[in-house]
Amino acid sequence: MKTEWDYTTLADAYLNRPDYSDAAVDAMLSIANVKTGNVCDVGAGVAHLTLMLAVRGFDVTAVEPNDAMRGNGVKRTEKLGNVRWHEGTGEQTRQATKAFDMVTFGSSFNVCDRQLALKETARILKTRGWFACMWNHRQLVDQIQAQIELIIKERVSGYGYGTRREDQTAVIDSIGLFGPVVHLDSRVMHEQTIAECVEAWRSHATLERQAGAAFGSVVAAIEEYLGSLKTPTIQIPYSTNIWIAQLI
Amino acid sequence: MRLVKSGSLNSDEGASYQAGDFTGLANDYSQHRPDYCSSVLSALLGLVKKPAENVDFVDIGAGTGIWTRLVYGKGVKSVTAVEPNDDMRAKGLIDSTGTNIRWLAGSAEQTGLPDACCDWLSMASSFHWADFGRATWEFHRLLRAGGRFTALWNPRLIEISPLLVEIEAHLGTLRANIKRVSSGRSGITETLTEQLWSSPYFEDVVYLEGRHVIEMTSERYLGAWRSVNDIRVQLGPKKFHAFLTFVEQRIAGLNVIEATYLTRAWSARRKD
Repeated sequence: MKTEWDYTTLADAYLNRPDYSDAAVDAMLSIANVKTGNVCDVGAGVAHLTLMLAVRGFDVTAVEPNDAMRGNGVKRTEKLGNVRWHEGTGEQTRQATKAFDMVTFGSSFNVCDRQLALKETARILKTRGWFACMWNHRQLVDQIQAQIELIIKERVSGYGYGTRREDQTAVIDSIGLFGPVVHLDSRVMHEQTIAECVEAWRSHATLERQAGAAFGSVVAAIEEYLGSLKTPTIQIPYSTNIWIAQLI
Repeated sequence: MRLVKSGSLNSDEGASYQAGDFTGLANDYSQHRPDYCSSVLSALLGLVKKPAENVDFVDIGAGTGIWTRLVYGKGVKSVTAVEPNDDMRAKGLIDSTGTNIRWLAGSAEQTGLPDACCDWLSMASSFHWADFGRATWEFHRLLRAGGRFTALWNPRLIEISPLLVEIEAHLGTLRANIKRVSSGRSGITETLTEQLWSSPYFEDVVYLEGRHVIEMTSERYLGAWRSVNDIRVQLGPKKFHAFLTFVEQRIAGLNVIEATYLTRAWSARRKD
């Protein structure tokens, strides 16, 4: 399925992306007070969030437009009986009306038309069902991460993270379909080998979009810097940021 | 027992009040202070990995028990409210009639409670008065393994209401550089995540926030202002009275005042 942003070449690198914070995901589920039921995970990618939901006992419908991403996701969840994969997008999930207790967007709400995605979410949610979107934000105050930011900003003018680092409250409120938004965040440490870390940067869709032709040289500069640290692995602090709201 | 923070915000007129002394505020507190966002409460309770009916809950700096009773309403196993101020505690006890909430005198640093007595411990709109190091040591002592400490506040989101922005701005004309120590959007809340992560007693820090709108009668709205301790202290009685008169005039004729509050909560797990 063709989408505006093509993740085909990033599908393998996405396997090394950090998981979301367990505490944050548990808090999210506590707010929704759902312990069992049907969850639609939209933009499921290679199943990071899908897996976290599946191991907590939910029946997960994973919706992912990109064949390569979905292929990896299917492989990672093939031993689980409670995950089904479908081709679809946030704006058109191709799921039945009023089918889900919860609809989640793991690092995918920002690549949707957010208004349309919220309307589609409202359509497929059961009465009083829950919407949630989340991202892992690298903590840029960390020394190594700050240096990497510097490397990028020297080479990509006007580099920014766009809507994926914005407060989502206003856009959710504006649609008038959902109750009060709760925002939560919690940290998670992600250990990576230097090779994995470089691979993660090679899979960084936001950077690739903004760097354009310079993408290769930016990743090379990051690789050189990480190599100069003379350490096999680094600890990368992330915070999982979640926004959650109930269908009115 | 008085809870007095050093470096109080004295003004000439306000010298008879100490910042942090809540004597005389109990009635306004009890009747007019807003409650907290219910979604955030559900989330906080959910983070305590036990069914609600098995959770022993302790609320420190409980005031008149606004938050305490919200948690009580979730059907936890037991509720203990600890409050240093006699006046507040007495009012809290009256307001809690018909519940089995236990009220005790004590402070955040010295609760007087036994080791490992609770699964969840909170300070609602009060942790900014506590000594961080001594209080977190005490909370670690009181919590059972895996238990959680929660600090929360409910500052107003005035910026989304022009009327409330105007009223807030009027404060600045009565006293330049007025400080809002208990606003929950400054001071300790700016560094709390970092402080809790760095603490030897706590880990797994989760931050939560949620808005809720309270429709207040003009009487309740005025009462809420009357209960704001740090403003009373900073303005002194005369200017504080003048401020309340201004608010009263400004809201005259309104049936209801919509105030949006932002509950901001930090939940941290006890380190083993």
